[in-house]
Amino acid sequence: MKSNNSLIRLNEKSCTNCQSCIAACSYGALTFDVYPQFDFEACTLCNACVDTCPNNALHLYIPEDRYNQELIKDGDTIWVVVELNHGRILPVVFELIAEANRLSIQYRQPKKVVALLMGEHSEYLIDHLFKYGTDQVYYAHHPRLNLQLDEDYASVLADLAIKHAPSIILVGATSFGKAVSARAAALLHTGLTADCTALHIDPQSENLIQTRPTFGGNLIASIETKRHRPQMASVRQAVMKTLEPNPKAKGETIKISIPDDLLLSNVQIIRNEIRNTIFSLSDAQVIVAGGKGMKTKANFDYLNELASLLGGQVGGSRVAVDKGWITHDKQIGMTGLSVSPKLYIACGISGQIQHMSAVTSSDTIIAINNDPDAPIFQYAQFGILGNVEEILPLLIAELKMGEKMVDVFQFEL
Amino acid sequence: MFQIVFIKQVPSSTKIKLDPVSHTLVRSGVKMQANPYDLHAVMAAVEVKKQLGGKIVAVTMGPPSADAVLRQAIMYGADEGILVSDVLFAGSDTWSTSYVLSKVINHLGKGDILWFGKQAIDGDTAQVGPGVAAQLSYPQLTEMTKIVDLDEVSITVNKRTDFGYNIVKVPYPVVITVCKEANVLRSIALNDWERATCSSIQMMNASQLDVDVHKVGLKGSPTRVVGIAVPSVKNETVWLDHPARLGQIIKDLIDNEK
Repeated sequence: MKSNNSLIRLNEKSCTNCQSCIAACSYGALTFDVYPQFDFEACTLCNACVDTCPNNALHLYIPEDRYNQELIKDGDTIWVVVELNHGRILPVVFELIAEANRLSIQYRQPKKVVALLMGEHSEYLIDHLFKYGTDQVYYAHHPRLNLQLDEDYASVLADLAIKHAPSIILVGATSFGKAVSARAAALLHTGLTADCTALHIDPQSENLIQTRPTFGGNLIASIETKRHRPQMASVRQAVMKTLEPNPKAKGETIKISIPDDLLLSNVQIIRNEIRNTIFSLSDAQVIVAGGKGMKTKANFDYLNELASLLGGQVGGSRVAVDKGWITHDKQIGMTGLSVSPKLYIACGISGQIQHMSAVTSSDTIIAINNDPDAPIFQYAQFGILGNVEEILPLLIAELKMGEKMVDVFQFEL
Repeated sequence: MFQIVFIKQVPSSTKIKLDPVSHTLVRSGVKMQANPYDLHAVMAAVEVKKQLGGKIVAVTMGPPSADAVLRQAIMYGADEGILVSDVLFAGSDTWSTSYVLSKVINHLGKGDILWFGKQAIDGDTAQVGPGVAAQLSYPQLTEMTKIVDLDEVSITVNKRTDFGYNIVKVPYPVVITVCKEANVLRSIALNDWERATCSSIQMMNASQLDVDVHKVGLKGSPTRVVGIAVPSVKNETVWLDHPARLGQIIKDLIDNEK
C-alpha cells in the first residue's frame, strides 16, 4: 500500500500473491493488481482479509490513541430492562433474564442479574421477575414513567447506569426497546448492538460478543464493545429460551424514587390504539404460515382450519401480505415478526433468508412446497412435495380423525 | 421552518447475491443508492414545507461519491445538500456517526425538524436518529407513519408501536424517523433532475465541524465488528410421501409435548 492514510496495510515482502484475501472480502473492496489493492470507500474494516492471510502480510493499522487506552472498570451486574404492555411484562423480558443468567456463569466471577422495572404501582410484577431468574430488582418509580416515553425511560436508564455501573444492559428489540436503548447509549457514550440473535462472553477478554444478522440476513456479524461500559444490546424477541419458573424464588428489591427533573420529555400522547393480534402470533406455540405458493386468498381458509385444529395461529410471508391474502400485522420475517413456536408449518413458502431468519428458532419446521429445490427444505425437518391446495385438505382430514387437540401447547406465563 | 433530512448511501439490496462457491457476497458492479426510507423522510419534509414554508437541507456522511444521494434528495424536493466527509470518519459506528451529525446541526444553528428514515436497509440498526436526538437533547419520535397535524410551534404524528399506533404531539425542535407508509414517493420530472444535477454540494470536514477526532472513526467508535460470517445451514429433511403420514407426525409431535 502506498498511502499512509490507509487503515489496512500490506507488507509486500511477506505477500505471496495467493489472493486468498480477495476471496475473503465480502464487500468487493479488494482487487488484484501486482499486489492486493484496497478500495477504502467499499472497505468496512471488517478485518476478514487480515484474518485470512496465511502469511500475516496484512495488518489493521490503528493509530495510537490515549483516549481509548483507559479501560473502564467492569461492573458486577447484568441488567435487563423491563418493558410493559398495559401492566403485563413482555415475554422477551423473561427471555433476557434467562440469557443474562447464562451469560453470568460464563464469567470467571459470575455477575448478578438485575431487572430494572420502571413505573408506578407496579410492585405486583416483581415476584414474576424473581420467579424467572432475577437476583435483584431495581424498581424506579414515578407516575410519569407509566407513560413509557422514550426520553424519560432513556434518561432514567442512563442516570442509574452511571450511578450503579452495570457491565451489560440487555433490552428487548421491540420498537420501544430499540428507541430507548439507542437514546440511552448515546447519553452514556457507549456501544449498542441492535437486534442481536446470540450473545456470549469471550473467555479471554470477558467482553460480550454480540451476534446479529446484517445485510437483510445475508451476513452474520459479531460485534464487541471493547473499552466502553456498559455494553448494551437489544435482543430480538422469541430467540432466547426462558428458564423454567421457580415459584419459590425470592430476591432483593431496591426502590428508587425518581426526581421530577430527570423526566423532562415534552412529548404528549394524544391517543393510543392497540391491536392485540401482534403479540398472540409471537407467543403462539403452533404457527401455520402461507406464502406465494398458496396462490389465492381462498386457499388461506385451509390454513385457518389447520391452525384451529392444532390450537395455533396463522401467519404469512411478505408476498402473502403484499398480495393482500393476510394482514400486515401477521407478517413473519426480517421486516415483520420473529417467532419461535414449537411447530412451524410453512405452506408454499420458498424460504428466502429474510423469512427464515425470523423462524429458525422454531423447534420443528415442516414444509409443504412443490419445488424440491426451494431453500425452505434446507431448514425443514420434515418435507412433503406437492401443491398446497391438494395436500392441505388431506392433511386436515387426517388430523380430524384424531382426538381434539386444542390448547395442548398453551402454557402459563 | 428549517428542516434537515439525513440520507445514508446504501447498496441496492436486490443486487446482493451469495457466491455459491466462496459463500461471500457478490458485490461486483453493485450500485449505491439513497436508503429508501430516507427518501420518504424527504417527502415528509416537503409536506411540511408546503404548509409552513422554509428550507430543507439534505445531509449525508460518507465518501465523496455519496454526493449522488444528496442529488437524489434534491430531486425529491430538498433545497440543498451538505456532504460530511473526512478520512478520519472512516469506520465510524452508530455512536460516532450520531456525534458527527449532531455537530452538523450545531454548525448550522438549530433545526426545527430533523428527519431520518426509520432504519437503513444495510445495517438495520435504527440507532442514528435517536442517537442524534440524545446528543442534542431533542425529543424523538420513531417510526412515524403519518403527519396528523401541523402548526408553527408543534407537530402531531401517527407513530407505530409494537401493539398498534400512538398519536403524539411535540413542539419543535424534534427528531422524527419515518416509515415507508408515511407517504408515496412522487414521480420525478425533468426539471427536478436538472435542478439536482446543477446544484452545488457543500462539503464539510472534521475541522470545520469542530469534531473531537478521538470520538470518531474506527478508533473512536465504542463498538467494533470482530467477525463476519455467512449463516450456516445444516439439516437433513425427512421426505414424506403422503399427507396422512405428515398428519401422524404432527400428532406425535403434539403428543410428545403432553
